[in-house]
Amino acid sequence: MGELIFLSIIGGIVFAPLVFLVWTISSISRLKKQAQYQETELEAMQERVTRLQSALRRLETTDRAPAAAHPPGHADVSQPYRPAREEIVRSDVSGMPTVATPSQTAVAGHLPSAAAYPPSSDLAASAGLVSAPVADAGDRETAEPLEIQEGVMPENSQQVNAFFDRMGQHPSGDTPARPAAQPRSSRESAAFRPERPAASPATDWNSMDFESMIGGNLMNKAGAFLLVIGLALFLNYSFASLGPWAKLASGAVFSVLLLAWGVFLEHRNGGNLMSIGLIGGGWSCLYLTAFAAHGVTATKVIESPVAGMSLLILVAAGMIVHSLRYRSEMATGLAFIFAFASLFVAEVSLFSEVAAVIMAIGMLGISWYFEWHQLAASGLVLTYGSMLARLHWNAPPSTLGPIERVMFIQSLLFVLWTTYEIVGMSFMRRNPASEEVTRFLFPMNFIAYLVASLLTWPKVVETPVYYLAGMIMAQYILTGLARGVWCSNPGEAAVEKARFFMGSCEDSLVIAAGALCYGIWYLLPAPVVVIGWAVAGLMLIEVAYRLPWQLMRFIGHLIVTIAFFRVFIANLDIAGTSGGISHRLLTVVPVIFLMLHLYFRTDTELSWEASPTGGTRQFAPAYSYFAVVLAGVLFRFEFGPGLTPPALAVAAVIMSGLGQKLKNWHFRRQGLYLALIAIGYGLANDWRCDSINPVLASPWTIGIITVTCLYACRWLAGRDDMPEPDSLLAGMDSIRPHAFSLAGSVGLAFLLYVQISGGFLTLAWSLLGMGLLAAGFVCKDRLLRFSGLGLVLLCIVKVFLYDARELEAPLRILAFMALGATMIAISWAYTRYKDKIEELLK
Amino acid sequence: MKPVYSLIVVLIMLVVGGIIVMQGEPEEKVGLSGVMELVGDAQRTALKPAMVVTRVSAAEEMELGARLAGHMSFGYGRDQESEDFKKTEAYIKRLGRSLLGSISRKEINYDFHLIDAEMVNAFALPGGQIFVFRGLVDFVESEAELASILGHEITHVDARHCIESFQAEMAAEKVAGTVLGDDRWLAGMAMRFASRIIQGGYRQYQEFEADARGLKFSADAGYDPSAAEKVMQRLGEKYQEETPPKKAADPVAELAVAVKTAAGSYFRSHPPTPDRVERLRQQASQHTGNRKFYIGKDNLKQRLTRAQKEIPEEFASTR
Repeated sequence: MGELIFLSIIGGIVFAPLVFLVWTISSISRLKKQAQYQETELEAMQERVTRLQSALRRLETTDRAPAAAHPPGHADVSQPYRPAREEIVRSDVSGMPTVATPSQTAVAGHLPSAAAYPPSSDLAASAGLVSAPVADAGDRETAEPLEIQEGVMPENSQQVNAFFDRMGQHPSGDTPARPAAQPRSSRESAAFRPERPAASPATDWNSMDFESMIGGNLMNKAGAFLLVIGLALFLNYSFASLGPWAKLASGAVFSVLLLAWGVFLEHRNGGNLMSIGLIGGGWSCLYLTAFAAHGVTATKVIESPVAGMSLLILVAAGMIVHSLRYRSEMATGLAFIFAFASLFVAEVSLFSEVAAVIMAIGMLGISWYFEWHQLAASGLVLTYGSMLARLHWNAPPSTLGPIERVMFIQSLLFVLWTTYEIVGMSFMRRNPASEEVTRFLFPMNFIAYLVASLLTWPKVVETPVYYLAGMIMAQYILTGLARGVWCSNPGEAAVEKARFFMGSCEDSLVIAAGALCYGIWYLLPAPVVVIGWAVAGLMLIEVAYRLPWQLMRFIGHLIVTIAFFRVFIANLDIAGTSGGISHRLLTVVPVIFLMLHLYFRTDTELSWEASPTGGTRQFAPAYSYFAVVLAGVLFRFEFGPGLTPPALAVAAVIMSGLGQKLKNWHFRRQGLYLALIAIGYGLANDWRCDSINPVLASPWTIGIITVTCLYACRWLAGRDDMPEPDSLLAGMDSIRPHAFSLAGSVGLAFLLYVQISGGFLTLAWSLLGMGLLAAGFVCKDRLLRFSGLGLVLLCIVKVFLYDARELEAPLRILAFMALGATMIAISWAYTRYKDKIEELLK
Repeated sequence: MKPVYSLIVVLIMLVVGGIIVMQGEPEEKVGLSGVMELVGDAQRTALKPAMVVTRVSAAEEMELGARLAGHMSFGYGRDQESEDFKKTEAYIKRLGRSLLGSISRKEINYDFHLIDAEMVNAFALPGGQIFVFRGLVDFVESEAELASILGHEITHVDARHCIESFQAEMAAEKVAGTVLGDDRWLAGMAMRFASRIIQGGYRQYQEFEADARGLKFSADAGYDPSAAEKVMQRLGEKYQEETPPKKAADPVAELAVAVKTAAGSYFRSHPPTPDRVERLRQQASQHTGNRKFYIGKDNLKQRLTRAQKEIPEEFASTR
């Protein structure tokens, strides 16, 4: 008894708002319908009055006496329209011509008056049903259609009515036509899918005002949603007085009521949003009830997980089958939203997650069958998001260890991922050139799966993240092979250049490669990671060359570039040797050769614009610079800053020579850059080296080797053909010989500066100046000559500003005399060989 | 060469190199220290012309050093006038002078001082003024170790590390003197502040250079090269430098930690001790052969240099 009372109270609390809601909506619909009908009525009456007036005018023009025996024809032929009871006259009748109003006869009896419109107690009075006109009893007359003879004045209003009726305005005795009646939706059974019924005017939400839209549309959806949540909370809440069967029964009854109500409304009024919302809510409540039968402790009556799952599948199937009748993507989507929402309140368990997965699979199957792309795409967000939310708010039991937790969650995510992969492939196979939103299923599935996995992965020692990377790699290798075999491949380079990452075989393999790179980073020691990435990038590039796959090629280049930068982080400043060879050398040298290989590989390719498959020739120069930079920094860290200048200077000679031999301007420029860096290091270190070898430790050795290499580069540069100055770099190539020459001169002068001091420095510089001048004449190098002259001028400045003040007398004298002699010698040379000099200067 | 052949060669090189390195237990050191060294190299090169132009004479440098040394006051200890203190200071002076055979700037007159304080430290001023704390003398275990430290400080003078810190300031005062008069010290202070920032990038390089050249000075003087590594190791253990961070969760986090560490280390005056120890070990290993080097444990205890008393048992062969 108590349960009955309780159920009644609960039912009342639940039903009352629903009833109020429905009553409000129906009242609004009825009022609107009445207003429309009234307008129609008034228009008809106005037209009738107009015809009567014209008829009377015709009668007046003829000499028909009987018309005088009667009250004025107006009174006979037409009676004022008297609104019957409960009429609502909205139209302004002032425009209607007035007529005499004897109340003898009621023309209105034959008019479909408002009184004939029955006051609607029908909750679905939206079809505008109008019953047969019911004339007022006091006005009722036996209506016999009477003939109006031509030229004969009708004797009474009935004759007039009959006349007009014969004219087809209002056939007597006929039921007035329904104003704007809508055809019923066909309910013929069909072996195939039935037509979706059109929406009735009453549910044309777009034409309703804002208030009605909120009250009708929004309230509908929100109300059903809240109902479902309320039911779920109710089921989950344990009352001591309610047993599990009672709770389930109440849930089932409620669900069936919603379903029946929705179906009833649909049958009666045709399909509308109200009925669809009720049906959707009913099915989702039923699904939740079926879930609760096994999945919720308070209502658990089914012990077997298999039976519980079977019941869920059964309900889901019914929901799906029912929604198929309408072929409404929105309706089906709403049903699934309700079902997913209902799982929010359930505690997380294997059963609850399996239920979610089953729903997802069902939703995707329907999406694919009916080609509902939006449902498939939004369903992805819904399924992954709801699973994450559940796992975040209701974490799996803490009794689960990390491994079990990973297996539990990852298995579910894997099933979801697989489902979306299969659906995506199916859509792709159906229409490879589709522009629907489902073409983004591949990247969406990848991102959602990755994010969900990372967020739910236990960050503990027992479950390192590279397990996940390994799983992702294996998954995408398999799906990549499947796509290659089963699907056509949009986005492949052979097809077009623009569509990247849309689900082709290469896209999957690229993801697998990315996961592999993460696993490499995690598993290998820090200095060896660069080796792993270099190998991975190289393999991607080489495979992509043969297929050809542009995305994979780009990703391969990207990985190799990242490996280049990785060297600076983990391979430069490291100790350790193996067999006397430093680990730095063992890891960086192979990478240098890799860069050189890729340089020559990409240099033979077509450019992006020229190649139909998207060439990468523009990357070639970058690889040559990568190789040179790595070689330079390797020298710096292997030999130390002291030995770097000669090492780089020798490298500069090699690059300049290679550039000349291969006619490669990149190599030539790299030679210049290496030479300038070498001279910079030499100046910064004062040409000193901390080697234990006394020969190498001497600045003379370091300086002379470096300067000699610079002049060798100058000689090689002098034999180059200048390129066309079509770019800034090409324009700068013309100064290469001068840069080498100047760098050598500066280096030599500085070497003397650090090694010699005082007055001897002035002597040394002046001799060097003379030597540069002579060399400039021999080599026909104007810059050398200017360097010599400049050095001599510097000596003059030094002599007066420094030597005269700081040096002791003997050294001071030596400086002045040496400089003077040098300058005289130079002057003599210019005078003695004036002709030849002029010839050189031409 | 056909691409496939070069591909095979490159793959073999990569794989073989990786395997060899993995077998050798590589050092797990991830950071931007290598990049910071390169940045420091660039800074030194860029500042070189300015340093050359503002270079002061040896006489000026020694005058500056003497003036700065006169301001040094550490609250003289109670043992300042004791025989032991004087004996130790004399020992320091003799040992220091014995290391000057390989210096490049012969015009500098070096002067060594002992400070009666417990601090385990030593420092150098321009013009050859070298200061050693008594705590350091007590800390070292052999004459070779003390020689490596003295050689380190001598290098700071010989390589102009000390004077270059003041060159910019002195030049600014000279130039600003014509305008600011007696207030030219303001310009000097501003330039000092600026030079600290600019030169901060290669201060650690200067420490590495001082370690290396100081080891060379002591090795050239016949002292055990491995002593530098040992004393540096003990200094690091004594002052417990920060432990290396754990492995990051992903490559991006690893890079973020590296950048953060590099930014924080820019103004650090000394490089991490493990790095210094490793480099000293590598440099010491270059001294191969049958040459014998002197250790001098008893010499330290007796405060008698090797030149005063050479003990045969104090010789050690190189590795």
